[in-house]
Amino acid sequence: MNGTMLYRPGDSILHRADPRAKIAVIVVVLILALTTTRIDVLVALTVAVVVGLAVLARITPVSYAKALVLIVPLILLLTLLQSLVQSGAAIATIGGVSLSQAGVLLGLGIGMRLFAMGICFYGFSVTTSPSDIALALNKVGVPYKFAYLTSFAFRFLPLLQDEARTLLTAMAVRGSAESSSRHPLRRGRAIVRMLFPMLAGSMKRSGDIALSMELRGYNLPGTRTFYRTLTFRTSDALLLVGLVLLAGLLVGMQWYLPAPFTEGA
Amino acid sequence: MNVDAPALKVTDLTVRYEDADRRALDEVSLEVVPGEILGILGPTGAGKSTLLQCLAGVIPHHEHSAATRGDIAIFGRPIAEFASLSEITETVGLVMQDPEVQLVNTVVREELVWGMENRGIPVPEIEQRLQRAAELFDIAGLLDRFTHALSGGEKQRVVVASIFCLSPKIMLLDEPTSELDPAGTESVMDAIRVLADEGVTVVVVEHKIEELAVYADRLVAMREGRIEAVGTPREVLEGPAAQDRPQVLDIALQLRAQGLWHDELPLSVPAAVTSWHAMTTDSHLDRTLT
Amino acid sequence: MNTSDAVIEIDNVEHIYGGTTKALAGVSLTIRRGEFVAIIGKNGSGKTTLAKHFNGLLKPTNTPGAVRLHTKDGRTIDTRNSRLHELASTVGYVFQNPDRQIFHDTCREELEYGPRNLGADDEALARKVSETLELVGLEGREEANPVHLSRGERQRLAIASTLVMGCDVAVIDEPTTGQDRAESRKILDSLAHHHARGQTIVIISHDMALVAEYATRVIAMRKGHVLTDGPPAEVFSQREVLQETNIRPPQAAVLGAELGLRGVLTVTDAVREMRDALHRSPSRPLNKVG
Repeated sequence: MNGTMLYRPGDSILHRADPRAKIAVIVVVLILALTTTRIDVLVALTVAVVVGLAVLARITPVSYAKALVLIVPLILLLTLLQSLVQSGAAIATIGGVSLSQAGVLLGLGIGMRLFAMGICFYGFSVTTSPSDIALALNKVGVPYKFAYLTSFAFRFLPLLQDEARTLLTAMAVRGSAESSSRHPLRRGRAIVRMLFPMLAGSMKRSGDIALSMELRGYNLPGTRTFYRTLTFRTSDALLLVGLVLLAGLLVGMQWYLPAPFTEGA
Repeated sequence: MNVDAPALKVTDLTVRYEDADRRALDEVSLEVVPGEILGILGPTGAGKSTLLQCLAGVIPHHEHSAATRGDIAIFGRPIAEFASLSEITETVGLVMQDPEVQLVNTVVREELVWGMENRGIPVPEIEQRLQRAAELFDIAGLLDRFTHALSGGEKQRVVVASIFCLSPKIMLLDEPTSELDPAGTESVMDAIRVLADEGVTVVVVEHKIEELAVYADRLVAMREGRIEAVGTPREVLEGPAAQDRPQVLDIALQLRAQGLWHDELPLSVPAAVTSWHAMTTDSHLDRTLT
Repeated sequence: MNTSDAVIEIDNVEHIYGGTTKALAGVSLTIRRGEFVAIIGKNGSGKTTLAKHFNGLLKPTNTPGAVRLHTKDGRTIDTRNSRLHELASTVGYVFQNPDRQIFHDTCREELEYGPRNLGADDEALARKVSETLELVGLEGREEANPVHLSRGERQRLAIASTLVMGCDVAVIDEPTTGQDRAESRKILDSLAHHHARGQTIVIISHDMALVAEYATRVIAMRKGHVLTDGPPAEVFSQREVLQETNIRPPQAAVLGAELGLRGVLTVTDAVREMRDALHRSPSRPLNKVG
């Protein structure tokens, strides 16, 4: 069982790609998404991400359909809010309340932005093992001890999840209706009760973990060797070239094409 | 390092924790023979873990809340001469009770190489030790597995293997099978035999007396911070210091007290059966019953 | 068989994890009031999966499969139709790790938690709490903070917190893991005291010697099936059957069987039977061959 880890071992192009290249992809997608609210650019970006994942990692929308189910209502809500808040020409009037076109476009835009970033992160997580992430971070300049923390987190996350689940279940088997309640406030009370033993357990355990790491030379001064190396290959260079072209295309769209649905310049 | 010296020599070791009403260890003296498997038994609170932590240098280098007196020498070299815990761990490895806190990487292969990477061991050497350990401890099939998904026995075996990769001459194991089921216990016992075959001196704290009695070379019985008995398993388990004995030994002792057991005292079922056959087909028996 | 004594009815229960792993394959059995049942088997045999069906932690994955609880006030509950907390008053469950089920700062509050959830009244509760603490060997520790208890004491506290609820059946998962012999006995004695007062108990355990001594009924599991089910003497005498699944009966039982003696389950039995055998005429064969 993989617990919360989204990572699934595999041999697709993205799986085999250098994690540094993948990090670069995320950074660029993030920048592109966050620097515009133009609906046409964001849709194009989203389509690029979806198609890219499908082709390079064999991850089709079917895999993240469940997440979509959560995001769609969120996007609609955002759109509705923005349409009420933004001023400008109305696209529709419902019962005396006008929904501005600018607002609708803005809302949809923000929604698409979330969408694009979300799918991008998902694709990264599924194709990159935690140890790759740590190694890549270290190779791009993050000091080892910080880079290592990412894989450390992934190592212990399933354990914490397991503990939380057992604690909540232990409450239920002693008659507590709260811990399995759907009512957020009541369930919240149960979660608070669960936090104390969890924190106490974690603190005690972290002392032992620290000792265990110390015993295996974690704090030794001097140079550390790395068993695994990352090789940046031609396929990775091609991925980056593709990324640059995409960025160029999207930026070019913003400069040379007028924003859709607007009346003139 | 003096290879003629005892692997570990403890002289009048006394330890008292802050706020404790009695000493955790009270003038303990002990010598560990190089290459032997030494078992330590005793009830909770006897000081067994404290002793191991002192032998590993955890007390006082990591655990600062204990006041200590006395000496420990590792292959003749006083422990006080070691500059740090890290230096001690080059010779002495420690395996603790809970496998969960000793695995700190996501994948088994990573876990095995991690300690070696930390020490700056060159990559070809890492590869060699990795393959060796994988073969010795039968974990070659586990190398690509996630550590959190292993069974208890597999986890402990990986821990032992990863510390073995650092080539310690002495391995200390603190109740390594306590959280494990019989299959897991057996896999750790096998790992201990592998260590001994490789010439590593092993000191193991263990409650499972029936297993320990069979593979330990010598036993130490402790109680309330003091050593009550040292000797071969038979010697120690026969005596009053042992709180717990293998059932077959218990049976033989009770029969001996009734004048009914004349053969050697058994530590395992096969030994008991052999002795029984020897005693019941013995002409001596015919004489006593006529 | 008096079916009115039935308290848990497992009817053709199957359980498949993740669509592929069949942990339980059509098991049917009945737990009767007043029994002290031990479920044994190696990891993956389905023993934990089975036990988790008793209180609704797991539900059968096959449609005809059913788990029915018969309460002392005459109701019959199908676990499939109930929420977990609704079954708490009928079947209690103590998890293996005490630290994952202790939530309060005092033993008293910890014991009060369950009964309060079930709507207990204060007066009677205070008395019950003291009684239960006494029965688990923690008398007078009402105001102690669980953090200051030893692991064995915390395990007893966790057990007490469930027993105080007065469920029809108490299920305890591995009550003695990680404990030394003396503490393991204290824990099993606590269970035995409650059993003597009418509490139906089910434990999952790897400690065959304790199972042989304390249980009235042993259910051995293998690959999702019940391998054998009966009184300990009967189950542990089926050595070939148990050997298939790596279950090792206590040394006394094995020795008794190897020597061709009958009715040997514990050390006491072995001493008695072996003494009697030695006093029999030497012309009669004392040990069977093969």
